Amino acid sequence: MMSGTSMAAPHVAGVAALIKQSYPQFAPSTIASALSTTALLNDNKGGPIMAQRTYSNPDQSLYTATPFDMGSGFVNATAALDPGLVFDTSKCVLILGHTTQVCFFNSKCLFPM
Amino acid sequence: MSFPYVGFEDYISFLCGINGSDQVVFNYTGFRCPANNTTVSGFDLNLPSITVSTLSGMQIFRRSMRNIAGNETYNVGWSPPYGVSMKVSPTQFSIAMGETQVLSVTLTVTKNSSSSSFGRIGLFGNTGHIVNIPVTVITKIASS
Repeated sequence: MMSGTSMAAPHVAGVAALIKQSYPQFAPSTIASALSTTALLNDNKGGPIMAQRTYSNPDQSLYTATPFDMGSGFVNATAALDPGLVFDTSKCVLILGHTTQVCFFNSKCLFPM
Repeated sequence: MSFPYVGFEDYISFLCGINGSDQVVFNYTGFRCPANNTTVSGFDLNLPSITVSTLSGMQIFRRSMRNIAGNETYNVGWSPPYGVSMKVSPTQFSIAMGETQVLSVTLTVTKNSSSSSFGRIGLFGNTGHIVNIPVTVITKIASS
């Protein structure tokens, strides 16, 4: 079985593309939020997600993964397409004609783009 | 037309919020922090996770969540990282489609430690949505 970051990255990128197709208005961080909040905390046998301590003989050095190893968990494409709640980073964006401005808490408009 | 969006400006504000970062931010982006009073506290960058390198005494974190599904009622549960007491409010909320809810998380050190500990917040919707937020605290310093 092929594993590791190099295998995970294109799979997660593919799921991100699916989300973008379903929600074209989503910003990158909104897509990341959907991927993260819906991730699975157990492996496909129901056990804890494991991490390898050493690069050589990885099977002999497994331990229960922490968020520093596994981030939010295993990506779950079905759930990521219906995340319920999303965490957005900006407070608002107003599009006025051809001018886009971003507003912060204090409702000052800044950074004309 | 308006829609929530995350972008460049949030990350710039986050970087500007780091003490003494002005010159570095300017060198890499050409953006001058002092001219724009836009710094955010690193605690408040609206990510679906909470990570603290050093928690000293007590700290409140706020996260804003937007409902992109139908009307739903969420119950909030959590397990604190070892050595930290944790309070999340509200513990239950109803949210309509398109509405935003702020979650307030209070972390208080109960035991000094320099090793990482991990907790979690879970939001459980009555139509089946589950939202998971990992919480990590590395160094913990109890207030005297």
